[in-house]
Amino acid sequence: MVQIELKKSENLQNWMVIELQGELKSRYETGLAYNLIGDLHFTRKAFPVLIVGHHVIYGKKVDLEKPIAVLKKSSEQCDGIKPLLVHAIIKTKLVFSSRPKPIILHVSQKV
Amino acid sequence: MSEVNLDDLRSRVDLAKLELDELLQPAQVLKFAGSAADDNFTLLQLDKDVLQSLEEGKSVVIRGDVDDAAVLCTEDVTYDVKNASTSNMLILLDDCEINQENMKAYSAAQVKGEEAMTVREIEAVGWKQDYLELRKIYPKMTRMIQLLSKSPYKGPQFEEENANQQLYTLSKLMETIQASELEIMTWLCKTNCCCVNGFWRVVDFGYIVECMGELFQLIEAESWSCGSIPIHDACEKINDSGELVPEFMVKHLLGSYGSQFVSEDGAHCFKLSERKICRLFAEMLLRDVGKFNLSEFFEVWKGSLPAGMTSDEKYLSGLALIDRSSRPASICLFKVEELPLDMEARFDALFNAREKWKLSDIEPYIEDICMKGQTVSSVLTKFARTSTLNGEKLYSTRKPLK
Repeated sequence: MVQIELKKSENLQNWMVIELQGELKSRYETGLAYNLIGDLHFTRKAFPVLIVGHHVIYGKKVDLEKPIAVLKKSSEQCDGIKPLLVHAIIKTKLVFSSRPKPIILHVSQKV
Repeated sequence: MSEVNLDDLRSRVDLAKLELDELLQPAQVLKFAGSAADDNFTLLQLDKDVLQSLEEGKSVVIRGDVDDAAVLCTEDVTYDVKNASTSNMLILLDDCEINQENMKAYSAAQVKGEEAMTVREIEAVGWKQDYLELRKIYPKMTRMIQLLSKSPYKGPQFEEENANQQLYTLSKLMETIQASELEIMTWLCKTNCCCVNGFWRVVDFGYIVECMGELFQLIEAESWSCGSIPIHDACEKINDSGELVPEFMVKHLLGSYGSQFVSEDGAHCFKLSERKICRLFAEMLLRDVGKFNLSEFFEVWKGSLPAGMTSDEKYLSGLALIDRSSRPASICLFKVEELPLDMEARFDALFNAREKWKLSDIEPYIEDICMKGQTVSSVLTKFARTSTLNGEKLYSTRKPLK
């Protein structure tokens, strides 16, 4: 039987996740790596606001009832099987599920 | 790494019609790292128990043969592992500031534009649109029953028969069975398996009957009470006459059918459980006959018990089925331990044996496979339909009749 052990990384990190409805695509179909996502602000009431492209999305901070472990294949071998390394734990996410508001550019503002 | 253009950042805030004095600083500019991808990490949704096991450095293992669905085992619970995909995009950040205590309002000078905004650049390490989901399951013990039943322990003189059989130590079982250590141990104890020379064995029922017979003879000969059997004397004297019962088997059986205590004079003693002994005798009577006339059964059962023990119908729950509607009323062996462990297959077997069940009758045949948080009534709602006969609720199958 195959047995894969989950091992806690020595410096277990706390990560965070942003959940967007839909999908991000790069403008030139070049993949997402290196691309800008957007600006993240927090309002004084601690609600997150995300400016993505020409959209503004208001979101909320959610503590996950079921936390998420970020697993990574370990480089060290142990009886021929590479254990999975628990690299980080995610306990909080920022959810942006409201309808994005378009940003309307006023030409007059620039002049 | 490109420097964030602060003027652009500010004009994006303006264009989005956000007011800087209603926001907190620092602003965070997010971009994907050069190494970001959707396959450099796997996400596993945990519950609090698994998280705790991981954080405490306890063993958490994903197990399965090539043909098996994978399961995840902590030291005491088994989970089914399934891949779940979402239409939402999950962006992974290793260094995002979300703690309000580390943020502050912009100063008047910053709002007016006389001073620059503070900004952090954050790189997203990856993104995912799927994750692994865990669901607590009843451990898959069926394979263990099959494996251990191949080589039951019938006594030392029959051990040559098992010379070529694969025997299982606990660690071998853990390599073979998709269940946690605690679940395996609990099951071994529940089914009265015995550890013989380091190997876990099912004890043959005929052999149990034989040994218990010797033990009861001894109890009678020594005029002991079933409530107080001195373990040391029992092990010594049982071998004085006739059949040889190994010491470990005496202890195992006393442990299986009773509980240990220390008597007033300091001797280690066992008290046999009335319930367990009654069940043993009932099974002995019912094992090789199909149906037994109910009143005759109660008569014989009562008469067969050792001194000081009284039979009671309640001891038969999960062991035998009583049919009072037949003429004459009858009883037959129906052991919960021999029914399937899968909930749906269990209900099929139950409704196959009897079309309609009273709650009190069906309860002992379901309780054992209810998971934490599941109750007999919630499971019945899902798998059975109810009807009422003479004011009594009856449960029958939801499946259409064939």
